[in-house]
Amino acid sequence: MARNSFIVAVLLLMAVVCWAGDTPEAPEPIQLNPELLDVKEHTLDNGLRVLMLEDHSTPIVSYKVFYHVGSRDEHAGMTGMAHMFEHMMFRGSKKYGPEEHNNMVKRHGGYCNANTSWDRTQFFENIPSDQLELVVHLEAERSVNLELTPETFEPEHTVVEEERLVRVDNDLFGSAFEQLISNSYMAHPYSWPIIGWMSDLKAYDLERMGKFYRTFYAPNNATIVLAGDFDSDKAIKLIEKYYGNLEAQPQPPQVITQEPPQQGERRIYLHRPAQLPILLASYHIPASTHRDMAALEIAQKILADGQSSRLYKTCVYEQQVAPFAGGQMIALKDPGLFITYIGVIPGRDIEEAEASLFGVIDSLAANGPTEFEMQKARNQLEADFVFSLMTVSGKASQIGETVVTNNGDWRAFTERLKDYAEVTPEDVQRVVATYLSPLNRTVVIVVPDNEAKPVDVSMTGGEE
Amino acid sequence: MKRMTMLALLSLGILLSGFGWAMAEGDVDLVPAYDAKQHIDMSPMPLPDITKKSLKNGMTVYYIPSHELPVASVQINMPGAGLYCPLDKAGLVDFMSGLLDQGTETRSAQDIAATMDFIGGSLSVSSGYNACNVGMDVLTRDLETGLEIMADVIMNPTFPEAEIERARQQWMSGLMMEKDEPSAIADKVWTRFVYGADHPYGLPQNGTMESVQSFTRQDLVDLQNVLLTPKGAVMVVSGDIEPKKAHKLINKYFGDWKGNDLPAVAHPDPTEKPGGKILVVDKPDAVQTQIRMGYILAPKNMNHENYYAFNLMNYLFGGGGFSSHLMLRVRNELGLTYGAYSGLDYRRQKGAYTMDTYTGTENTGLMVEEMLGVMNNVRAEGFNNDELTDAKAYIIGTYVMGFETPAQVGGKFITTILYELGVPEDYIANFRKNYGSVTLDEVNAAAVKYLQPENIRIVLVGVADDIIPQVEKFGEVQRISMDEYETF
Repeated sequence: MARNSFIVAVLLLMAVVCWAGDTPEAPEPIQLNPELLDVKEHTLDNGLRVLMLEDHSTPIVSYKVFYHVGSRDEHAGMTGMAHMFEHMMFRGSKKYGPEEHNNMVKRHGGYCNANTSWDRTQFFENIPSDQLELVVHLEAERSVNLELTPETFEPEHTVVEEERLVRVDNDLFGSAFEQLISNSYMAHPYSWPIIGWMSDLKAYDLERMGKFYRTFYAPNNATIVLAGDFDSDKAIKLIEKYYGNLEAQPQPPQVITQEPPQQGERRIYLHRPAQLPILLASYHIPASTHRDMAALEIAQKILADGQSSRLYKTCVYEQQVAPFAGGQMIALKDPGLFITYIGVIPGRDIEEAEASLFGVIDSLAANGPTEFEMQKARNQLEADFVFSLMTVSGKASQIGETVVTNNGDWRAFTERLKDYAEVTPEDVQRVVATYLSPLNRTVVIVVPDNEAKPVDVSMTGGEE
Repeated sequence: MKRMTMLALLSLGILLSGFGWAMAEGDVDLVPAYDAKQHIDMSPMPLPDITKKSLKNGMTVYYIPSHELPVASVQINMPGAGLYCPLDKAGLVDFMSGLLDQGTETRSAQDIAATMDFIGGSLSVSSGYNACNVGMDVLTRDLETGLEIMADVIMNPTFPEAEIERARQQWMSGLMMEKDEPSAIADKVWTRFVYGADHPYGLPQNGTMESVQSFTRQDLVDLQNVLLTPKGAVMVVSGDIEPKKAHKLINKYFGDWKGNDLPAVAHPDPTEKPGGKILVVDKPDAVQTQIRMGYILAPKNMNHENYYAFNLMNYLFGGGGFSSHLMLRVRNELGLTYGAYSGLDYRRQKGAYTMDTYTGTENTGLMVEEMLGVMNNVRAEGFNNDELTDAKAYIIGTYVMGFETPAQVGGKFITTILYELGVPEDYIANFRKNYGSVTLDEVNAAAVKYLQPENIRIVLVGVADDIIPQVEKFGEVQRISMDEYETF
């Protein structure tokens, strides 16, 4: 097939990029069996999209439903609703009572769960191959027949409040991370936490929940990804059978607001009872589809992957100012963030750690990467790609996440390696200088302050 | 059962709630019904071709080929580890293993990191209460490069003073930051409280402020000489490489590795302690209470008594996630927490049976009462046949999911040998049949025997002034401050 020969060509292209000097030569390219990446596609009349990747090595199927709704689709007063819905989807439908979905999957030898991000809500089942029809049935059922009642809603409501307490309010890193994201965005909906503000959690009502469900849990707003031991033609028939009667809904409202360019550093001091300071910094980066993203991924590898990465080597190993230092990309549908962070060794101060962290980034911006670092990053990305194919669940996730953040185009998943091969050291230097610049960053410093009051989680709002 | 009645009432409430908007859309059901067939496959688990070899130095090697992807995995498991940690050197075993890849006779820490990072491989060194593990995942083309590094860090570590000091500083900052993590504090305090400071299982793996300061290079060398030995070690080489070729490589890099037998373990099993004791760690800025409850019970292999029945019982009681009795009650019915679990600590000697959860400060007493209530209820009323069948279907059905990657298969071999669960090939082959044949009587008997509310000890981390009045009725309370939690 045309697509497969293309992938082979990409891998060959990577192989001919060699360097002189003491950089080890680029290794022989990995030759993958083309069938490993042979994704098949089908769209139902109601707009439901299905992506399938067969792999018959183990008798299991990973079935993942991606609803294209996340915290970016919320607005003030209803933050956290996408995540609340992830919970409610387990609380019963026309045919099944609360928790029956989960129980049905388990009693047929499968495992299921769900999670919510800024851009999407994902539900998945990993099941023995002979139970595929059951999960197609179950997922179709709760996508249209969900029952929202006070009896199912109230206990789940407090469960989510407890989840917020344990993940954010009672967790120093969680609190600092929430401050970082919220202060990075002044306009875009990525500003609020995925789990939502406590005041909004306490105020959800079933009417708004119902409207949210009808709007976003529509067949034309979902992508189903299957990977594993199934026959694609049979899977399509099953999906047509159970989802075929569902009607497409009006297109959900599009997110209009764009984040205006940041025009100078924002700096937040978070006073909390704590033993040691921590510093987190974020930089605005483009959306996942942008052509600079491949160079930024290579920069991320050079800065933060492994003990030989620049941040670890400089801040932790050589200067010994920090117990840990690192960086990660949050690549999203709309412009996301490049996050960096550093801790402090007792006896050193946060200013030293900050200087060390930003010094590493500035140096990469000023001088660019070495050829050794470029090849190391490419090798790491290639290995990451191969390792991500080891489980059917991993494959389904890769395909689904790519679809979500790349405007529906799953091919970006397999074509990524080609993009990395084309990135030059100059590109890396340019994107680091452009995006990881002081004017484009937001800094959160956790200030140990034992006088700081505990977080008021009651949200009653009144004075004592 | 009270619980089932409540569920039934809830379901009834749903049917009666005519205002529900989903019903209002009309009576036409858009999703066809499906009559699922439960199918419990008790046939022997098929295994890939496996070659077993013994090296002259005493190490057993399993070769498990699989050619789907060009990757290879090598895992070495050396039993002993935490059981040999000196009582005044908490954390030493983990500290030593963390330094293995930080310098050898011919390579610096950065040489090792740069080589592994350049091939995009991972080398992990870790220890625990049961074993030291060194694992490596690489693309097959880089297997020999990886093996050379792996053998070097196991056989020739030098523990450079500069690296020891750097690691010590990292550990000290980790210990300080732990004070801001209520869950980590609860785990650490629980470990010492339930096992006692006079047994290595009671020592925290990340050490204490005091112990970490005391580590010397000689401590590390002495421990390495005892623990890192091929005698009794098990290695699994899995992935895209033929056994013959792999065996040549393993002989080349590990054939010269020498070591002694492990000495006899100096400590008998940890001792059971009287129940009804409650330890409260005062953390005035907490907004939730972290809860740990349990008692010393048995080794991971349950001494081969009721092993399968016990595991099914634990699954139904609190180990089975969202469908366990514990979770149904405290999460789904009462909304007291995001999660509640029970399980037996994996240990070669006797491990603790622990329930863990958390809840809002004001609900602490209620939560403890409910957890005990579920335990008593299960003991008194037992489980029913349907839920047991469902539990078997889940454990048996999902078992195959742990055989997807060669490293997972290798991990199963290592675990089976380490905990003396049987001959790995037999244990794995008979797994589904052994779980499938357990009867309801056996599971209910296991609940009565192994759920021991009278032996429960409790650790609570939260706002002591608010918590203590809520829990005094459950037993004798000991209150400690945040400055005392490593040394109480």
